[in-house]
Amino acid sequence: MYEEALIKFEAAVIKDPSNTSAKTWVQETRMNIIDKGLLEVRFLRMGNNKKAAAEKLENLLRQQEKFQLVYSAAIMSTQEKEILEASHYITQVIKQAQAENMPTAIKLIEYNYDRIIAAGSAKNFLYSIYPELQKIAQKQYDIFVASLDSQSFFFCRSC
Amino acid sequence: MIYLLLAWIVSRFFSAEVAETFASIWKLKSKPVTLKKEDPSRFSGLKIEEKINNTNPLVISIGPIRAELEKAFQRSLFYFSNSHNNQLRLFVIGNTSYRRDEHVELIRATYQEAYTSWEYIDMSHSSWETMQAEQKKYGEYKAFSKNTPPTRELVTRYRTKEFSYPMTVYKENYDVKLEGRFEHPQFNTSFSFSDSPKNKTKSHSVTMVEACVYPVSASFLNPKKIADDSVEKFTSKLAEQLKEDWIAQYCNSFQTEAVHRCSRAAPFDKNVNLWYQKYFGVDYEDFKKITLNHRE
Repeated sequence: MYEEALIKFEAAVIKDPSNTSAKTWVQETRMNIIDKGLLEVRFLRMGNNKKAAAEKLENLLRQQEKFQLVYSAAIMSTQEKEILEASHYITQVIKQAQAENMPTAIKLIEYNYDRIIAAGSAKNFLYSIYPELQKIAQKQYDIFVASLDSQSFFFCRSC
Repeated sequence: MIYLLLAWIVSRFFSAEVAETFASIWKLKSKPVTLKKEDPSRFSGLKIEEKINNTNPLVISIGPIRAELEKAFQRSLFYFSNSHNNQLRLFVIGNTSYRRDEHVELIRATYQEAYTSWEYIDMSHSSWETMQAEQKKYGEYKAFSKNTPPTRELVTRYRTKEFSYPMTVYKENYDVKLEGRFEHPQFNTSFSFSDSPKNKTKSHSVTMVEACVYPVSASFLNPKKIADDSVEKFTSKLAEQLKEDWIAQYCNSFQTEAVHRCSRAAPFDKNVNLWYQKYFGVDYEDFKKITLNHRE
């Protein structure tokens, strides 16, 4: 609902940049999107759906970059709390991938949750294990390249 | 049943690219993968032999077909500029024809012609309403009654007239049939395109304003557009066929190079994702996402 309203208000501002009331509505609607979004994140987390909560929070953080708003203390506090919770979850997921010796899977986690990682404690953990991940990746790379050199690849039709 | 066994040694160009990408994601010390300069499984271009019968070359000509096919081939996965001496032979056969029939039809048009005539109006049998209207028309002083003699008036009447004019009706029929056949053991497929655009149009030069009849000029199909469309569609058939052939050749194997070749045409292939999951722990599309993000 808020997203639809935002599209209309933004269109009104584009049509008439001097329309101050439309500009105010744009800001208020953006604020409502973030506020409502954080509430959804909280409900998802409390419902033990941590993956969906982290994904929703990541999307909200990406939206915030575009919105460029000054948030109220209440919103900031809720957001910090959710980032903290999501960081715990992401750290757990990274540890799991680390145990499976899959550094590229950790790269994917980094890509998918880069705003949460940058804003929370998962960043420090990730940096701390990076040299180890790089070593595993180097091993994987060496095996991969060695296998290419030893392999004779034939294309075969109707074999 | 005799099975035809055909095999080519394929260089590991695509695997080497993946290895390079992986190294750059993790900022690793990369080792050069030994690659042959040439790749016998790919080609530097098409060697087209064209035999298109053009029944009416003045009207439809598939002129730029060679250039377009060559461009489409260069966009395909089979293209490799380093394979200097390796050209893929393609036979393009087909025919194009154009036929136009015309005949004259006699068109009948009707219109209303106005004329005036003096008519007697017998007021004695007029209704009360008509009498009132007449009274309004001629003034209050002129009263009508049943004894009023019939009046004579100039009245406008219309009659329907008919006239005929000749109209030339044209029927056009284009026919384009094209077929491409690869002459290479790596390919055993052909592709084709056919289209028969039809058109019916009319023309005449008669003007009759009363009947709203004005000259009409015939609107013929544009032979250049038909030729261009045919070339475009045949070219896209070639692109589709090349993609299908690529998939058929590389998507049924779990060999590393085959998997990487397959991934370029069928990113959601089961073997591709199995390979990426096994070696990198992510799907192919996710690996690509990381790569793109890394490049940014």
